[in-house]
Amino acid sequence: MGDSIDVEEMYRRYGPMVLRRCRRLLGDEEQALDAMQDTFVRLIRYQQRLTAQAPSSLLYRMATHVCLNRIRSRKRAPATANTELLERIATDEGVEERSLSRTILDRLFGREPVSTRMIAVLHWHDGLTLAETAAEVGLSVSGVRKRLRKLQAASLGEAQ
Amino acid sequence: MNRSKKIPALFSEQSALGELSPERERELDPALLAEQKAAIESSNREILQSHPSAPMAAAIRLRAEQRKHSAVAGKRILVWASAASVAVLCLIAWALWSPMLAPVVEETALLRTPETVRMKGSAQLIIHRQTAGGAEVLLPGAVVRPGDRLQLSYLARGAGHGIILSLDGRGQVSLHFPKNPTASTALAQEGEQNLPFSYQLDDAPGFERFVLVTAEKAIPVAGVLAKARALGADERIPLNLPVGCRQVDFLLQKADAPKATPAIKWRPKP
Repeated sequence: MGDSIDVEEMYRRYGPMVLRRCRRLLGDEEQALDAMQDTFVRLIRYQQRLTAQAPSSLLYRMATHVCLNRIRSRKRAPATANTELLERIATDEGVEERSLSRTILDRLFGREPVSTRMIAVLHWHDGLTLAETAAEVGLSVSGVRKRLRKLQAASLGEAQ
Repeated sequence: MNRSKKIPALFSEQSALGELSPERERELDPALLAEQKAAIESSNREILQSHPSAPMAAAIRLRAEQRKHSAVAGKRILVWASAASVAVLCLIAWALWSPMLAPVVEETALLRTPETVRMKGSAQLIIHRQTAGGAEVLLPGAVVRPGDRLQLSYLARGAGHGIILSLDGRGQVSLHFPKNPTASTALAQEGEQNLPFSYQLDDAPGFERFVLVTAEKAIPVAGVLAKARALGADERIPLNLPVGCRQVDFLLQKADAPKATPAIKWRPKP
């Protein structure tokens, strides 16, 4: 990639994918549009991370990161809190680890570092297998499994 | 096929873009994948029709510029704050350890009034949208609709003079501050200044671009308006401003008008 990306071309190719991702995570059209733009702003800022092949993976993770931060901000501001997304995540069809309670997700979105939240969303919400999640975030399967177990154990421990 | 039937959205998106590895694609149910890709292609058309690439890219670039500008301003403030903290610590140490110096402290720059030591930043344009429960601050690139009622405000931050105008998707230029081209362009310096009117958006398509022009001296309003009108309906071209003027852009995306919405041009709130 050169020094300056062609924003219009990148939006035309990847914008719809990013917007669908933001819509799915945020559940609100205007917030999703706003998050989609923020994702491309991050892309401009961190364009040196782009490689010649498959920018979709990077953009998908960036969009997830932007949305998770927004969800966390909403939790920090009770006046605008919207728990609809978390409820939907907790009841999403096909999600593995059915024992994951909303309490865990609350903690997950509110406190955990982004990397762990990203792993949890990819695996629990998006339905990627452990191996696919590991490949997506660049960790080993055992590393991903360890983080998820630790998160689950800590959250359950706090819930008791 | 090694994986369960459900295909994660990431993989169907990547497949539609031609960016999914062949190995992974072979693990997916071909019929389900074809179905999901067809839905994605249909959705792509709908999204690009509702949010065309040119104005969206312009809004993204503008937002990126403004974030960059804010980050630089933030760093400047941090440097000032750090320098001020160090200076205050030095002064405290000085005052404690040197009994001869206490009266001199009153004369140091750090203890002068804000009027004499003023930290200058960039003037800022702030836009609120009226909501059912009050108002919300809009970020650059936010989506607005015909009928939305907006309140414009500014922070002068040391800029002596300014004008606020807007351009819409039809190339229409409106002056918001000062109230007419011959009125004074002097900006009030105390905090956030609300303009005396709120405005209701009309059904001009594509975008609403607000521009705050600032300068140390009075600004020739008619000349700036003429330059804005010469731009036509292009939200990306900067104004060709007189020397010494600075420009702050605030671009809003315009969603399509609902059919039932009457066309209302910028109209002062009674």
